[in-house]
Amino acid sequence: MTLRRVCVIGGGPAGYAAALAAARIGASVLLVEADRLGGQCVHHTCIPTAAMLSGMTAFLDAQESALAGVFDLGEEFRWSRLVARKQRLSAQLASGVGRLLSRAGVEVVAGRAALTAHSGAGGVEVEVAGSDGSVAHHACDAVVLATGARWEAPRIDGVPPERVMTADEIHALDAPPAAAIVMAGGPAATAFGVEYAFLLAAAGTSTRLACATDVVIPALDADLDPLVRGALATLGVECVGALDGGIMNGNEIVVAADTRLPGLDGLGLQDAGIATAGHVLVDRAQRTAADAIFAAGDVTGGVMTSAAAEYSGRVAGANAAGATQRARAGATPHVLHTLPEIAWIGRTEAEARDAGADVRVGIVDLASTARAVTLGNRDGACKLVADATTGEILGVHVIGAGSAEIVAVGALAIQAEIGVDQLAETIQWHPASSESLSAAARAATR
Amino acid sequence: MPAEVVIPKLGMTMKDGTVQRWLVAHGAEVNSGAPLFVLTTDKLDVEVEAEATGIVHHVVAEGTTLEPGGRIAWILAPGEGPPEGTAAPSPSPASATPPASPPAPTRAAPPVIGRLVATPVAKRLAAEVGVDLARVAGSGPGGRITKEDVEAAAAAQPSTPPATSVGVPVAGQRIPLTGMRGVIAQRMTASLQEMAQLTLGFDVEMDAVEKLRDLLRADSERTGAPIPGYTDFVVKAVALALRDHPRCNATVNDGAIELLSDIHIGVAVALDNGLVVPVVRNADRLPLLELARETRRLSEAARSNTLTLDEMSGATFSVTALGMHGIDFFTPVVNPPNVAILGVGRVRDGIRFTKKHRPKRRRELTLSLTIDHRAIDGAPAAQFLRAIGDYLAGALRLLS
Repeated sequence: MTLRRVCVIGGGPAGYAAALAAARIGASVLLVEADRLGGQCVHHTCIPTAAMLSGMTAFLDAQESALAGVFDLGEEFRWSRLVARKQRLSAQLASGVGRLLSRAGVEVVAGRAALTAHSGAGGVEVEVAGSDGSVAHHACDAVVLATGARWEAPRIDGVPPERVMTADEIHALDAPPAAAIVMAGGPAATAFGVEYAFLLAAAGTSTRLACATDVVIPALDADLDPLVRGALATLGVECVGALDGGIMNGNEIVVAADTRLPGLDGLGLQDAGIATAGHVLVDRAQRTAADAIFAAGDVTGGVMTSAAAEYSGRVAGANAAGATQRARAGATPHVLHTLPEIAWIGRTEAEARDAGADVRVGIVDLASTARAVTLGNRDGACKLVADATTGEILGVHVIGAGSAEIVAVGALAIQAEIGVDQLAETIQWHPASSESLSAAARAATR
Repeated sequence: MPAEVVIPKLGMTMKDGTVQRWLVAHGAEVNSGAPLFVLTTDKLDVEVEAEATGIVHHVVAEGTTLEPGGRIAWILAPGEGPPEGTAAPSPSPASATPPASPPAPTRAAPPVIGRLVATPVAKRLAAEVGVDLARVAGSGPGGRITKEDVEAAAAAQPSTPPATSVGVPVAGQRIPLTGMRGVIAQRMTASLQEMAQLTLGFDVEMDAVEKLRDLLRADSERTGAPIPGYTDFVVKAVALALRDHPRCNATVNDGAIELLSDIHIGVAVALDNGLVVPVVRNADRLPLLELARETRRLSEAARSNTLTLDEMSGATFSVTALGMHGIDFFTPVVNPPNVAILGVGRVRDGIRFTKKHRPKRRRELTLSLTIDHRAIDGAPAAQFLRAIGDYLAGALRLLS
């Protein structure tokens, strides 16, 4: 028997995770990337945003320490240097992805891939159009579609298209815009808009945040919404309603922070018999409607985050190589690297109740915790939602210092199905942010 | 270099072995020395450890039986393929590829012997909905049973009523061993596993008790005092006899028999969905009428589910009665940590022969005494029974 030949289309988080997973269990893997390895995550979303925000939060932290008299304030914030630094860090990560793939024996090909009409019972054929005009055909036993998403700037009534900028355009600017109105939500169901409002406001842009919903972040428990609004207000960000041309000020640009749509064009999906509904439809094993064709990441729609893409990519890659895994994606965390940090995982209390759960919640005011005090009296809150009958952790929602750290423990508890009573008994370092999660668990078990 | 995994030869007489369960999934990583699969032979089940580190590539499915030396898997280096001619097996039921829509594998797996791995939430949910985890196929990492697996198994069960429902049992119903049933199951099994139990039957004369009871009944119409039941008389007789037979009022602990100074008698009370054993404290010191009042109060509390934990703990000896159901003799199971339990049968007509060999009617009942033979031998147990019989035959001594 020869090795299973797996072709992965796309080199972003879903694609490289799929390629590595397939190679790991003995498949021969070909990865086709049309642009740059690393995908949106490394070049346009997570990594550039996190790199920009880390510089920004360091600056704000320093300003706060200066105000507290710990040291003298002298430095000025330099947007252009932050952009340059971000470029270097993104490039570093992209080459890291390349090294990882080559070490795993994955063959990487530059070009645009499509499924051909020859695909059928005997396997799948992939046609790769190289950037140099060459065309090659590859016969495979299985294919993983991981083509990600594409930016699509929204058309807004009364706003000329040249005044609408997507996130990738914002962090390529030489200087921050004078005034901006940021769209909080979008079809990708993320909250990156909040990060951009924070970034721009801290950089001196007169910033407003347009929220189409009652709360700023729909996926975050509504009890924490006032704290999110408070943090934004501290930076001078004003929250307004849904965006239309009528509320625009003269010099404002519109920031469409996350208006990405699954990238379905030019793949030959219809001829291959793959069902779509604005995105590729997959089952829990990441299989599409067509034999031997799997899909993962943003192209499958839903919540478009790298964390979800990477996880579904691992499952798709392993299954393409002959494994029989099933995705359990309920425990995908979200983190906003703002100041204070905002992070969540799982359901809000309202969602859990709507789903019919008998719910118990535990809330801890972070302002009274030792860690928050040692950081200079930070405020925030941690809310835990659990099932009253089984003790299952249904959601963890945090705003404040160390939110990501707290939610990371929540992610472990949810995926491992650790109960709230066991979580309540865990020992955490003192003083550390993670103490708050144990405390919230104890509050929920009382 | 791929490392071959074969069925090991565990002894001279081993003819073949079965891969009962893979402990590392196909495609997953294993470290040398970590458990790789459960091997079943005609004599034993053993966990076999991996002898190399790498990616596990199954060659056979669970349930496959081969002779020692038969190849069952490869352990591969990352990126390495298995040698020619070894295809991966078709998936076993536990890790079956799901059908196109989300449903989890719902097939009932055969009961698994040995260690069951389930997540804490899965265990709690299984207890709640009455699913037997031994029959659930795990789909989580390493075959771990997840909440979703339990939900699927529960959905596949034929119309299970809620675990907490009581009342008339219906055929086909599954009553989980949880709550009171769980406690009974656990305690009774532990009792028979730990102790060397022996039951002795002994008929006692109840004429005196019956006469005294008739007097007390007449008295009760005037004073409103409670009429002691037959069991109350027996409890009182037992409590007094225990003073002279301290071996029966004991507990076995840490390799020693501890004789107890207080005499607290547990009295079993049957309920719709089980039984409880409330305790009459210092029964030897309670006058019969007060003892009767106390047993009545306790059994009412038991039926209304208002017994406190204190009222149910601390028994040094137990009494259980089945006489009202027509039973004469039975073999009660000792209520740990006691060393003996007395079963009370039906009060019935019997025959006694006079010195002149004339048959004469008498009232009698059979006592069934189960003892823990580790603490008490047959002869002293018989003497204890005789002492109880003597107290019952001379009923007036029971009054005070």
